[in-house]
Amino acid sequence: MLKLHVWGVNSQVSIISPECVASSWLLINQFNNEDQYEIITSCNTNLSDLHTLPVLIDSDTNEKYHGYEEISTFIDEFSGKKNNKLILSQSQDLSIREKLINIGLIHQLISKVEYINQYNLYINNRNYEGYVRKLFQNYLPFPMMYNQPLKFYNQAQLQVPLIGLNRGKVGFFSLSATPEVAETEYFKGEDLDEGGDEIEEVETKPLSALHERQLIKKSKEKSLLQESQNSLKCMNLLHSYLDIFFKTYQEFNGTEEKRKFGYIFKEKFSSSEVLLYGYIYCLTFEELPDRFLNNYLNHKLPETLKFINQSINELNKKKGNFRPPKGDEIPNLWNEVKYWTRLVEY
Amino acid sequence: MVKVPEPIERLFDTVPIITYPKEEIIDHIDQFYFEGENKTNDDSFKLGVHQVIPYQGSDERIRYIPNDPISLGYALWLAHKNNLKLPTKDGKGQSSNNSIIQLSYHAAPDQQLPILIEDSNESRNIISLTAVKKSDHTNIESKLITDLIDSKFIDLWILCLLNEHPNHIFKDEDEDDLFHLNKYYNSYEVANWKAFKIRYPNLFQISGTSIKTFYKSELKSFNQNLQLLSSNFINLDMSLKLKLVGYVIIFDKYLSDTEIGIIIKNYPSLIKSSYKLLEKY
Repeated sequence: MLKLHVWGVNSQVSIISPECVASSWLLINQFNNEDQYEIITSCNTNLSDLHTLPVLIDSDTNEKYHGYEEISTFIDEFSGKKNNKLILSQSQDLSIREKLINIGLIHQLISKVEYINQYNLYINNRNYEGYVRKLFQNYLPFPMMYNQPLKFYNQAQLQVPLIGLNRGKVGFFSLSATPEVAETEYFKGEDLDEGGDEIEEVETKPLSALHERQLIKKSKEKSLLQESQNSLKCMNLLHSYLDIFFKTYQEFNGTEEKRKFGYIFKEKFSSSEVLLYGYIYCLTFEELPDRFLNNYLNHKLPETLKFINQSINELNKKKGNFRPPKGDEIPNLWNEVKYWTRLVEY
Repeated sequence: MVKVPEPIERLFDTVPIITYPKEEIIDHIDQFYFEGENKTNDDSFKLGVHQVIPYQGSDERIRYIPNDPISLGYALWLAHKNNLKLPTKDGKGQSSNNSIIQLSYHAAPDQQLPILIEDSNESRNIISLTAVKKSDHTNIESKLITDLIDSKFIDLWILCLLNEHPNHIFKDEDEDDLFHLNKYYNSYEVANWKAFKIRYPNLFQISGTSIKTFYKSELKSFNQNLQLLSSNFINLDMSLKLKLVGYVIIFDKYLSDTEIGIIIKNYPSLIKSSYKLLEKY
């Protein structure tokens, strides 16, 4: 029996991890028989040796497979020779060159588009405050849900500059940036703006309550401005990453038509495409308060988005075998203590 | 301005009882010059690497090569692009303007080697590993594979340093005390290379086994990727080939007792073509 542990609640896999979404699609669509696998929306990172989800546990051999890349390779080998209508077999249907490109594409997504997703979920204030932070109360029992979103938030603060988003100051020295505190009410003006518009009152102290209110207002405006600047950059980056997929599509399908998109290899989804749709699904998720990426794609690449949404629906069609965590799998305080004292080992 | 009263001024002037002699600035570092035409203009570059070691190929010629995979890849690429041959003389004799020098990684602005120091008439330009401009591949395939090697193989290299501590990579022991760094300090710095620690924060939580697990899983994927790359080796771009050669040779020759070395032994044909390519330079 294969057990896939993911972020999520009930039968909804969480958008905080596109890798989880894509892994569960693979599993659901690769197996017809529902007792071969189960997907557990456990949200318990202790289950994984790398402390990240998704993790796939083969309960017969007790082997663990971490992350989408490993999971997709394993599922592919495990399911053996079967003619799947939806998903290509990496080992059988692809040539060496195609395999390399497939891996390259997966890698682009994990090492770059991942940070766009983090920007969208954590750094974008409207999404973080209005949606993502609240998600965690569904995922984790009291009191575990307080710490986790903050941890991800801080992680995103550090990781998003890797692709040149946020703060603008990307270079050698910015990688050791001091972690920022999540915004509560008082937000002091950041020292410098990106374009070199130095704020005149770098170290201004409020002279009176009125002055303080004005300062806060001003810094709010400034942060809004910066956020929209970053959002623009973010859209641009997303476009450039999608462009890689377009070019690959053109390479294999010989069309000259720009921005046309479809199945890259042989009329079925390869594992890189499934992951791409996972990412697009998360980036354009309909419950997010700020769907600027969806609007952008809709405006710029309506045909592509249409195809991608069709694909997502196709992948989403089949109901999987989901179950909530039980016993030691539940990420509650008691299990955490047991884990740290080594009373329980996963 | 108020004048300092004379007795006090005299007092303060005598306070530094010993005046230390001016420190000599070390102006001579061993440079390993690339072989090639000695151009008349002043433009030159230096590739700063951890350590340079002699390597004797099947043609009996001794070449001096960097002993880490990334630098070796760059050295080969620079030689290829500028029509040069790898250095063969031990720090003496200048056969071109361009050279490889040994540095401590503290010399780099972001504590990572290799760095490329470009000198032209007036200005000096230092390019770090993280800032090396991604070559604009028009071919999408090359771009994807380059990105794959650039991040996956470097990650594996960092993981190997963190897990197995091969201790002959860095200058230490017989070097200046300043550069004498024990392996634990090295581990601390190495974890910051290529923002490794930022990209995988979960590996550095308190329980220490995750980094081993990650190393194992990366080794597995390295094996798979190498399989694909080795059977596709002839079709690769020159820049990609040289990049790959850097890894293959260092992994095979100097990390043969590590897990990576064991894996790479399974690809004799790739190893053979790598040495052949190296000996062209």
